[in-house]
Amino acid sequence: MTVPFLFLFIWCGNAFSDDSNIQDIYKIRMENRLLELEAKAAAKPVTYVVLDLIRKKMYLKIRGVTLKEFDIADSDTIGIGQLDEFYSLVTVKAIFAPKRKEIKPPAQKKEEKPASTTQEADSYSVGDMPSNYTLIFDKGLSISISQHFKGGFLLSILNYINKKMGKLWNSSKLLWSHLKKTPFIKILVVMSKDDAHAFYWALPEKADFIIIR
Amino acid sequence: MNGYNFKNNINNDTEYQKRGLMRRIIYALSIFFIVFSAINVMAYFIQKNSNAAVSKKEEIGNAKKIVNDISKNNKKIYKSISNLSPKGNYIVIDTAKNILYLKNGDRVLHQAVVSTGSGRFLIDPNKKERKWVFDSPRGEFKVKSKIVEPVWVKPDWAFIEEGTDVPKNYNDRIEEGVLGDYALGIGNGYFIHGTLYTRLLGKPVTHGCIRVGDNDLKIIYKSAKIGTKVYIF
Repeated sequence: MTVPFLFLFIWCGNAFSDDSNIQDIYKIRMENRLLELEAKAAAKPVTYVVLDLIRKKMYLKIRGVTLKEFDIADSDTIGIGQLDEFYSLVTVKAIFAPKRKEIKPPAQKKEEKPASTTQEADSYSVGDMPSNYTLIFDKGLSISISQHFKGGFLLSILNYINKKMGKLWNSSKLLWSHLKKTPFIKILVVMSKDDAHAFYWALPEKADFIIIR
Repeated sequence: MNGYNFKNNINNDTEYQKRGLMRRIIYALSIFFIVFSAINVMAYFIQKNSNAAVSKKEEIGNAKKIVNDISKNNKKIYKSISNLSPKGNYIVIDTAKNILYLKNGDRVLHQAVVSTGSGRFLIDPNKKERKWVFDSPRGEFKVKSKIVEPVWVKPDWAFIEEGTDVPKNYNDRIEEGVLGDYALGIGNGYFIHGTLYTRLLGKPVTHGCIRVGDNDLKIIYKSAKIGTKVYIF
């Protein structure tokens, strides 16, 4: 149960095994590849991320245990490649990146008191995290996380424009990369504002990503 | 006659300007639409051709055997991943929500509101190179020690934060009654312990330790053993 989507994959794999066509072999090989990647990631005592574009979910996992599940409102992939390997997070770019607050010790000595009273306010909380940011990986992959605007008709138009402009920009980048013969894969992920904040907060440095699509 | 012509010219000019502006907008939108479509169509074909090139042809006669072999291998890998999962009770701490879960398999046995690291930092005013970042650690840990009635051995940063001198005598660092009734050590000086500041539970305010309310701490302490896994994210 800790890896339900993988179980489903195996089940699907078994179901497909009676069919003998190239597509089935391709699918089961992909499942095998993803399982191998997960086995490698789970062998390390650090959190890793499984981005499942088929089920529109993002899983934060460790040792095969799902720590947190994020819902994806919408997604799109632009680029060339199979995405059947590990991608290590290199950096996260955000326009409004959060800044840590410094504790300023009092200038004058005072009576000793129990610790933890000075930092009641101004802590660095999940709400301070950005909701629009880009994860840059090795091997030419980047994942753009953006906020899904919920509300009336106007906000749904905003979501649509946001998506189309993103697609245009990334399609242009794909053409440019194709001409330069450099790898380019861009995944656009739209999440709720809270999930986007929480994912940024929980994102481990240099995390390994496994992508299912 | 001239006056009439003059007036008529003004009307025509204004009309002409309006039409000219409209025409330009239509041209601009058309160009944008054509460029947009062209880029998308080109991108689509680049992706399609590339993905088609990656697909490998297999001999259909061997397909069933190949599928069976890979299926067997997949089951083995799945089992090996399942074996990595913790056996028995384990603790999961969500630092974004400040919630601790005591779990066994997928079952949540107990849930507690906690306080985790504030994420703030402190620089020693006397030695600028000494800096502390008060984050709760992330990743996999295990319970390394179980302590009843723990005492706090105050580290240097606690004195610097208060603006007092760091004592030379070890005994001057000891403070009793601030860590609650129990503490679970998870390594590197980090503990899951009690707190005097119960009103701050649910907020990220600590120096990295996990503060838990008295009643919840008792349950967690009794359920955890030395070696119990702790996952913090």
